[in-house]
Formats: sequence, structure tokens, C-alpha cells
Amino acid sequence: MTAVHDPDTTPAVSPAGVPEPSVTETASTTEMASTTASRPPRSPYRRLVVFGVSFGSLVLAVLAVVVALRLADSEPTTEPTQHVYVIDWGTARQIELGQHYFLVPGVLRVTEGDELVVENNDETPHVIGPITVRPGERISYTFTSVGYLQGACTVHPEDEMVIIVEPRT
Amino acid sequence: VAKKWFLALVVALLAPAACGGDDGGSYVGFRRPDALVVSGASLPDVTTGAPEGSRFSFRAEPGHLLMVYFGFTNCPDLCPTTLAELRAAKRRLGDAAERVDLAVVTVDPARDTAEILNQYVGSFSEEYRVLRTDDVDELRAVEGAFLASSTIVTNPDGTVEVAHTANLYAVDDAGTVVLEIPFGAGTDGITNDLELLLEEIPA
Repeated sequence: MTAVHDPDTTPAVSPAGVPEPSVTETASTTEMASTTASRPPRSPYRRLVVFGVSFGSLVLAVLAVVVALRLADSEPTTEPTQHVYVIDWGTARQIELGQHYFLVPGVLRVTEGDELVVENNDETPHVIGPITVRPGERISYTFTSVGYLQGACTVHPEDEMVIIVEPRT
Repeated sequence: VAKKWFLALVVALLAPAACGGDDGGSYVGFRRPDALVVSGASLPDVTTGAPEGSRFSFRAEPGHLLMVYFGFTNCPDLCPTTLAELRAAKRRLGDAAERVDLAVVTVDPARDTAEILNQYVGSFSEEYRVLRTDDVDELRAVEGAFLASSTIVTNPDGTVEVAHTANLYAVDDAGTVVLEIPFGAGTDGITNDLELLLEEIPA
């Protein structure tokens, strides 16, 4: 194995054929930066390293571009919420008997894109905001625009409710 | 080989970005699994020019859509907003708007005379039907067919409070409510839904 060799000749190679970097080789590389005339031939090992670094950089750059594109194109970070209300059998009767019933809040705050789902298992139709649901029916409605809705609500003691649709940020 | 693999990687990474997001083609309003059928309901037609004593049945002309709305002319917000949004949506539809008809039922017949109704609804649409009855039971029966409701309360100070369902109902020529568009859908939402509905109905 040769520890020191002439930069103008073939680089040092181990018996196994793997290039062997040396102190002398490093010095000659530095020297080569200012004069290309004396550039030594690159070893297969260095070529592999350069290719690896280049390819890795390229992959990282592509990944960065893809991530940036997806972030720019993507929907807002918060996912839409499904507000599900299941009206049990006997609810209307309970309310009729004066029992307080707060299945739905008096003021329901939702975000644009959220979905209101009402399932009516009672024996009479029920109204929750913009949806009237017959017995045995399940209706869903997605709030598509920001606004303030005041409407009837048969599953609230005060018989009405407010829905505030806020913008998705 | 490395180049091909690299291209495959880029395509794989870009594909989800291209497919994500918009799921266009869906309704803003909602449809019921078991649609309402309102073909059996009718009300006195008090539209200017309609024969005296004629009644209007809730079904669209063939190839048309009938948009039904329950409201009143003294409404400060929901009714004028909805009717204005529907007007704007029809303008966006262009020629296809000819296939969208409007019928307005007053929930406040005591104040909404035929003349007032025609004047009011006529300010939002050139073609329309205005329906009015003094028979509360008849009004309730029609509201019930649409699962709509209304209440009128006269306060001690004489002010009148009217609450009513503010949905737009799209009815086809069989008298089936094919879509309900709640208040808040906006012009964009109504336009979107009318376009989709008209695609479904052969002209």
C-alpha cells in the first residue's frame, strides 16, 4: 500500500481496488484549485461521493419544491368538523313535559366547510337550524359561506338557535 | 435506471398534489334519502294575469325547475337576500335561466295582498308565480308538504314578528323536491346547484 505518491501519476489504490486518500493527495487537490493544468484524474471513490451528494441534493430540492407547491395549493390546515346530533326517541315528549333538553347549544359556532348532521330517531319531525328532519331520517348539510343564521330548534328549550359560521383560517 | 427511478419519484410526489383539494360537482344544498313529493299540494294563484280562482300545483314544467320559496314582503333580511341571490344566480346561468321558474308563497297573507306580492316578487324576477291563501289550514298543509313552517306573532306594541323557513326548494316536473338550499348558500352556492340540477334534467 502506498502512502505517498506522485499526483501526476495514477492515484493510490488499495490492493482491493478501492482508492486510498492520502495527505499528499489532499495537498495536491488544494493546489489544483488554482491551476487546472495539473488536475489529477478523479478516483472512482470521489466520483461516487460527488454523484451521491449531487443526487441527494437534487432529491432534496425536488422534495422542497413539492412541499412548497402542496402548501401553496392545499386547503387550510384545520380540517372541517362534523357536528353530529342524534335525536333520541321520546325527545319531543320530554320537551313537552317541560324537561330541559340541551341537545344543541343555543349558539352553535361552526367554521366554513363544517358539516351539520342530524339524525332523528324520535317519533316527530325536528328542526335544527336550516334542517327539518323527519322521523328516521338523517340529513347532512355543509356550511359553505360565512354568516349568521338564526332559526328554529325543536331540541332546545328556547325553541331557537343561532348558528355562526366563521371563516376557515 | 437511476433516471427512470428519479422520474417515478417526482411523479409519485406530484400526483397527490394534483389530485387533492376540490371535490367539484357536489351540491351546496341537501337532498333527502327519501325525497319530498309535493305534487299533490296546490294554492290559489294570484299572479297578475292568472285566471280568477285558478290554483297552482307545485310541479315544474317539463324540462324546467321550479324554485319555491316561503316568505313575506315585509321581511327585512332573509327574503330579499334570497330572492336577490336567486336573481343573480339566474343571470349567471345565461340562456339556461329560462328553465328555472319561481313560485313565492306568502306566509303573511294579512299584509301581503295580491297587488303587493306581484309588485314585490316582480322586482326580483320577470317570470314568477305568487301564491296566497287566507285559509291558515291550507297554508299549513302546503308548508307541511315541504316540511316548512311559519309563525306570526303580533306584539303588544303592534309590531309583527314573522318567523319562517328560509329554504329554497327545487321541484322537478314530477313534483318532487330534488334539492333544498338553505339560506346562507349565497349566489355562488345557488348558481352551483342550479347548474348541476339543470344538467340532470333533460331540456
